[in-house]
Parts: sequence; structure tokens; C-alpha cells
Amino acid sequence: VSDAAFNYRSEAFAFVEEIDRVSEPDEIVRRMQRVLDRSGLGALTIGHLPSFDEQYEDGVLVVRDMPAEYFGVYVEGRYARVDPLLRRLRDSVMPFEYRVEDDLEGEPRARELIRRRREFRLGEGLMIPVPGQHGIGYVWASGERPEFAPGAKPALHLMSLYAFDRISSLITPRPANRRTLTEREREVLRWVAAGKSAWEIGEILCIAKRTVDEHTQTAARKLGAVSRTQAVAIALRDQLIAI
Amino acid sequence: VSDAAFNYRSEAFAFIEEIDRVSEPDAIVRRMQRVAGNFGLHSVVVARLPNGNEQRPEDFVLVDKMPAEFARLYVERGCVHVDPVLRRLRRSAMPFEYRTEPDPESEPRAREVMRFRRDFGIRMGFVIPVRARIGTGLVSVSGERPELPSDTKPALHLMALYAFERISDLLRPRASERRQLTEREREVLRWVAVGKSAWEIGEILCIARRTVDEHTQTAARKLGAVNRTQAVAIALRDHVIAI
Repeated sequence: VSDAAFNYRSEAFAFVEEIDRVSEPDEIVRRMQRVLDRSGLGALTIGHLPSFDEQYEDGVLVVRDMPAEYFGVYVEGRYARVDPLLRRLRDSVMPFEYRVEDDLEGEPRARELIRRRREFRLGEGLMIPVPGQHGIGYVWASGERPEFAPGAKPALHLMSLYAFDRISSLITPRPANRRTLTEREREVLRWVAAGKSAWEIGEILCIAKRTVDEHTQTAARKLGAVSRTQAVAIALRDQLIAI
Repeated sequence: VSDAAFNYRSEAFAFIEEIDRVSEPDAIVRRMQRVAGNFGLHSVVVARLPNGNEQRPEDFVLVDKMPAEFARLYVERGCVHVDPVLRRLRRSAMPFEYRTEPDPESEPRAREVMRFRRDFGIRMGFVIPVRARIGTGLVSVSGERPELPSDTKPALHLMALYAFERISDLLRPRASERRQLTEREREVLRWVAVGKSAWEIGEILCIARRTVDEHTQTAARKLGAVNRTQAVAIALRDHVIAI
């Protein structure tokens, strides 16, 4: 075991043990950066994965050492819809390293975004998907030319899971911008997704069938769905429920 | 930090480094079991979240180190619908502990599930929720010991995430063979997912309504779904379709 790997481990576990006593998101991020710096990852963004019809910036919880103009350019250019990094994040459950993407033939807008990201020195990095209470979140660390020592990625993975959990409990996302389903509505939708009828769901949850129907309809309305099947599809896509 | 916990941490990192070279799900779980066994927790279960339609344990349990009777009886007695551990799992992004001692506050049916666990010698369990490409899953370690030292939990958490990912990767080819949908069936399902009725889909694709129904039913059967909503849910989860 090399010294470097040894340090990553103890850093990560010490971080996780102390994090419940840290109540400043900035302080949490500052401690993470000690480890990120060693891998050449300077800029950090932590947030909730935005739904397709949600503004990217609505989901952002914390940023640190990100170039000031980046978000303006990103939002102005409406890049969220073509961002291959977001696309890959939606499809990932484990951390992934991204390098210069080359598989974007016929996607000029995506190529343009990647070029701009490189100009902001965010061209390469590590994306860590994290499960959250209200759908999936991410910890995005980037730099110009990151290098990962053995043990660095699992350490950052572990730190990110606990950092995200802690930070999202400290910062409540702006509720007006997030489509929030109640716990009960999500529970009902999960059973709908499992193929249960309203009557069966009523039996399982010990509530009236009519109440089940009300929950399903409210959830569908909030999600802009015309049927319960579409409500389930949107809720799954946006990771509001999981099956 | 105790010595035991310290070894545990190195073990967790070594586990992650080596796991890609282990090609037997059983070997991965045995290794977790050996580690958790140091803390008196001898039962390990790796499973996907059951939805209540499963007839047999192998429909949702990927690997388990439990008496064979446990999973069979768990399904037979309909525990899936009332198990307070599963209920909590559906709401949780982070690991949690449960105890099986009688809780006068809980519902009678929930109490029965906990007594059932106690009959198998389980006093305490540590459950790690996992978001995986094959859906939500869990890794649980449980046993007779009433306590798990808190500084070992992050290590078990990390191991569980990588173990689940690796195991579901190893088992995936078998699952996907059963799920070969035709292009037409996927097309129909995509329209169902965006809220279209069978009649509307018939109009869109210029085919008879009855043909639409047949495609939907065949797709549902192939996916092991009991109705079209569940068929859409499973197809989205397994990336058979996207919306």
C-alpha cells in the first residue's frame, strides 16, 4: 500500500465521521477540496440533477472555484439539453471520469459546449452520481488534467455520498422551482408502477381506494401527465420514484 | 478509532480494487460475509427491491447468505407488502439500521415480519440502499449482534455499492435475454409512456387498435409485467425504452 492511497482512505473516513458536526456547506466543500486538489480537480459543483423541463441552475446547491461566467454561458446557451455529461449522468449509478469526448459526430452543439468547457478549464473531471431524497444528485469536480492515484476515486465517491446528504439537509432546495410530490404521492406512484390497481394499493397502504385515486391524480397533475402510466413514466425518468 | 475498524477500512478499499477481477457473485458475497462476520453479522442479502408480484425469492434476490427457508417463507407470507424495512428502504437514500425487538408502536403486521426475522436469529440489520441500473436494490447485513460500531458503517456502505454494481453486471446478460422486445413493441410502449391511448397509438402508427393491444400485451408478458403501466415502468428502468 502506497502512502498516497493510505492518505486517501484516512481522509475519506475521517471526513465522513466529522461531517455531521459541520453545519456550514462551505466548510464541507473546503474539506473536500483538500482531497480534490491532490487529483488536480479545482472546480466543484454539487446539485440535484435537473428534470428535463427544469432549469439547470435550479438544482445547484453549492459551487466552489467555478469560473464566474460559466453558468451564465451555460444557461444563456441552453446547453443543458445537449450536454453529453448530463446525459451520461442520467444513465450512471457509479462515478465516472470524463475526458475529451470524441463520440459526438453530428452533434455540433454538444461539441461547441465541450469546447467552451475546455476554455473554462473544466474540460476533464470526475462526475459522481449520488442518490438523494428527491431524486438523483451529483458531485462534479473538474480541472484541466486530473490524475487519480489508486484509492482516490473510491475515497471521493465515499466523501461525495456523505457530503451530498449533509449539504442537502442543510440547504433546502428552492421549493417553488422543484416539482415536489408528497411522500404519500410517491408511495402510491411506486405501487402503480408495480402494476397494482387502486383497490390493491388501498389494501396495501390501509387507505380508501378513493384516496389512492386522489393521490394518483394529484401526482399526475403536478407532473403534467395525462394518464397514470405517463405519470409513472415521468416520475421514473426524473428519478422522483425508483423501482 | 479501534484497530478492528481500521482494518475494516483497508479491507473496503482492497475489496473495491479487486472486485472487477472476481467473476462469481457468490464469491463477492462470501467476501462481504467474512468481513461483516467479524462484527457478528453473518447474514448477507443482495436483492433488488421487490414489487410484490414476485412468486419466488429468485425473482428479486440476487445472492443471499441466509437459511434457504427464510426467503421462501418471506415470499409465501406476503412480507413484501408490510415489511417496515422495505418501507423505509423506499424512502431512504442513505444506509440505516433496524432492530427486531418488539415495537408496540408499529402495526401488527409489521411486528409479525420483525418477529419472523427474530425467529431466524436476527437482532439487528444494517441496510444499504443502492441505486443501480437494474433498479433500486439493497444490500443487507444482519445477525445476532445488537450493535454495529458506527465507524464501520461507511466502509460497509462503500463495499455494498461496488458489490451490488458488480453482481448486477455479472447477472445482467441472463436477465436481458428474456427481454428481447421487437422494434414495434418498443415503439408502442414509448407511446404508451407518453400517455397515449391504444386508439391514439393506432392512429399514429396506422395500425388497428387491436394490433396495438397485442403489441402492448406481448411486451408486458416479455417484461414480466401484469399491466401496461408496469410494462412501461420496467422498460424505462431497464433502458429498453427512453422518453
